Amino acid sequence: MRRELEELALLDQYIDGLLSVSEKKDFENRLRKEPNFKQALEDQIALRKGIERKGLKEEIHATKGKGRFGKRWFWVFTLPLLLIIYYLIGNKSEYVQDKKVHKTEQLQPILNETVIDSKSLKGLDTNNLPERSLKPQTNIPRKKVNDSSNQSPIKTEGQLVQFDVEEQMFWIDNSTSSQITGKDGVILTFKPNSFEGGDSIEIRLKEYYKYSDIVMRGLSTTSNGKHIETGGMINIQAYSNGEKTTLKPKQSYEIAFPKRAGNNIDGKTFYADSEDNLNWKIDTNELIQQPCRTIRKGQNLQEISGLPGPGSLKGFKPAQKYLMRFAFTSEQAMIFVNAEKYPTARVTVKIVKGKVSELKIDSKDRNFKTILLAYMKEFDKEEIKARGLSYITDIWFEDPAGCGNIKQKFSKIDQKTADQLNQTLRVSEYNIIESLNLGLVNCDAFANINRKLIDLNYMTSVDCKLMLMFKERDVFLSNYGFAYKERLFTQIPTDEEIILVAYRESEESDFEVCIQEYKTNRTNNNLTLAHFSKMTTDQFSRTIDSIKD
Amino acid sequence: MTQDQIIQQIQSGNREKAFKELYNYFPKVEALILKSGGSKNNASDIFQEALILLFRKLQKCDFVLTSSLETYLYSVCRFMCYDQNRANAKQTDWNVNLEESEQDEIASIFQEEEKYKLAETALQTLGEKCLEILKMFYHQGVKMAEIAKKMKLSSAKIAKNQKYKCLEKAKQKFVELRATK
Repeated sequence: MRRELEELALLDQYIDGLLSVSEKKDFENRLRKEPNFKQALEDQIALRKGIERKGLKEEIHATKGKGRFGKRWFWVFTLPLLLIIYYLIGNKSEYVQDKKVHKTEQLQPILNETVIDSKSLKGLDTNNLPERSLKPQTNIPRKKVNDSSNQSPIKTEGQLVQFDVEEQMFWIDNSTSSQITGKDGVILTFKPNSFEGGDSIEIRLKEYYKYSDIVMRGLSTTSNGKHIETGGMINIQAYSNGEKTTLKPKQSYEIAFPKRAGNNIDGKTFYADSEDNLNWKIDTNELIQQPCRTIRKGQNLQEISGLPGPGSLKGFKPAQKYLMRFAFTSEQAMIFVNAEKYPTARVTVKIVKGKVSELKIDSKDRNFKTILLAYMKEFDKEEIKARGLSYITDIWFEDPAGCGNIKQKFSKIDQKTADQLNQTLRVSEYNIIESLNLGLVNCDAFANINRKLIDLNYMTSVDCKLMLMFKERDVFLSNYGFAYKERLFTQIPTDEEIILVAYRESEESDFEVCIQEYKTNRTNNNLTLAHFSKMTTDQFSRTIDSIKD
Repeated sequence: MTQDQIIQQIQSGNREKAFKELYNYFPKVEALILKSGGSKNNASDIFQEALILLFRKLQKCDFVLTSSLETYLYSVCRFMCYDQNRANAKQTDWNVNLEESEQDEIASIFQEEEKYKLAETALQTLGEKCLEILKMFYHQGVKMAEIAKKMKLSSAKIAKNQKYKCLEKAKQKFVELRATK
C-alpha cells in the first residue's frame, strides 16, 4: 500500500483500538505534536460516521414502507409502478438493455478511479510511447481482449494498472543499534544515532524481493542502458515526528538480502531516485566501496569478517548471527544456531501449529533476543504453518565444525520423515551490502555477458505491460506493448534463455497474461504474444515465482 | 416489541425490525411538522434524522434514556423542527418533556451530526462500487474476504487496498468541502 493508504489504515487501527500499547503511545505522541495528523484522525472519524449515515438512511428507507405507516399506501404506489415495469419489459426491451450497458460504463470509471494512482501514469516510459494520449479516459468503454482489429485500440487506465508491494512500518529507537526484518526476510541493521531527528524513528520498507513483486511492479534492472543482476531491491524511507528524515552524514546501515538459489552475484550497492523509469546508479562513495558479502553454505565462518549486525553479541561472531538451520519432523523440531562456543544462555521455543508462540531466553542481552527472533521469523514460514505442527524444542548452539550432523540428532524413523518432508537442512545465506542512502537500494552486479548482443522485436495482440526476464540471471527489463505495434528490447545476448511476460488488468479475472519462454539466436528475433489467459492475482504471482525454478 | 427489545435490536445490528417498529411513531411526528408549517417530505426527513440520532445515542456504551423511545424521538424531531424554524425566526424555544441533561445531549449530538453530514456529501461523489465496499466494511461489519467475494475481487488484500483508495478519495473531497465551508 502507498504511504497515504498506510496512514488511513493506521488511523483505522487506532479508532478500532487495535494498536498495541507502545504503538498507541507513539500514535498519541504524534497526535500531540502534529496538528495535521490530529485533523486527519478527525476527518477519518467523520468519514466513518458519514458512511454509517448513508448505510442507516438506506436501512431506514427500506423499512419505511414495511411498517404500519406504509401499508395503506402500498398499493397506491406499487400498482402504477408495476404497470410501468410491465410496459418497459414488454414493449421496450431495447431500452432496458441500453440502460444495462450504460450502467456498466458508469461502473467502470469507479473501478479505475479506485485502482489507479498517479504513479501508474508516471510509470510509463514516455520515450517509447506512441503518439497517443495517456490521460485517463474513464468514460470510454473497454476494448475486448479478443478483438483482433488492427485499428488503434482504445486505451483505458485499467490496462496500465500499477500494483505495488505493501509498505511495512517499523518503529526503532534511534539512540541504540536496531535491527528490523521485513516480511520477505530482508534484514536491516542500523547503528546508534544513525538518523537526524528524535529518538523514535519510523521506518517504512518496501521489499522487492520476490520475482512476482518485481514483475508486477514493472521494475527494471539496468544502469545507463547496461543490464545488471539483482540480489534484491528495497525502498526504504524514515520519518521522525511524522516528517521525512534522513541518515546523518557518513552514516551507513547494512542490508542483508536472503540469497536466492542460483544467484551468485558479487554485487555492489546501487541506488535510484524513483521507482518509475528506473535507472540504477552504482554508489561510488569510498565509505561503502566493498562488494556484497556473501555467506556461502559450508564456508568456514571464522574466515568471514566484518559482517553485519550489532557487534556486542557475546559468544557469536557477526557472521554467525545470520546463520541458522533447522530440521523438523511431525514430532520433533531442532533449531541449530552456529556458534563458536556453546553459549551459556538456554533457549526454548514453543511452536504451536507451526507458529512460534513462545520464546524463552534466559539471557538479558537484548541483541541476542532480537537476533533469535529474527531467526524465528525464518522458521515461521507459511509452509510450516500449513503443516500445523506443534513442538516445544530447544535451540541448539553448535560449533561450525559440527555442520552437517544435524540428522544424527534424530532417531532413524524421524530422520526418514524429515527426509520425506525435504526439510532436513536449511541454511540462511545472505547478500549483504551497506548503504549511505535511504530510498531505492539494490544489491547488484553488472551482468557479465560476453556474447553478441541483439535487439529483440516483439508484438502483442493487446495493449499491455511487458517484462523480460533472463532465466539464468536475475535481470529484469520492463516495457510496454501496444497492440500490433512492433517494439524493441535492446542489448539482449544471443543464446540466452529468456521469459517474456505480457499482462494487463482484466475485466473478468484480475489479469490476462501471456508468458513465453524463448532462446535468443541471431536469425529469428521477432516474437508475437497473442494467447492471453485469465489469471487471478494469486495465480499470476505463483506462476511468476515458480517460473524461474 | 418492547422498548428494551428495540434497543437491543439496534445495538446488535439487527436494525431493520427495530426501525420498522419505530416508524409507528411517525404519524405523531408528521402531525407536529405539518402543524409547524413543514411538508410531508420535510417530516419524513426529520424523522429519518431522529432515528439516526437515536442510533448514535444507543451506540454509546454509557447511554441513559430517561424517557420512552416515543417521547425521545418526538423530542428530537421537535428540536430539529425548532432548529429549522429558529433559522427562520419563527420559534424561540422547543418545550419538550425531557430532562435538561437529555436536551443538552440532543443538541450536542445534533451539532456533531452536522459535521458527518458534510462527510456524507463527500461520500456522494464516490462511485457505487466504492460506496458499497465502504458501507459493507464500516457499517455492516462485513469481513474483507467476504467483501472481496461479493465485489468479485480476487483477494481480501486487494479488497482492503480498494477500500482505502475509496476512503482516500472521499477524504480528499471532504477536505475540499471543509475548506470551503
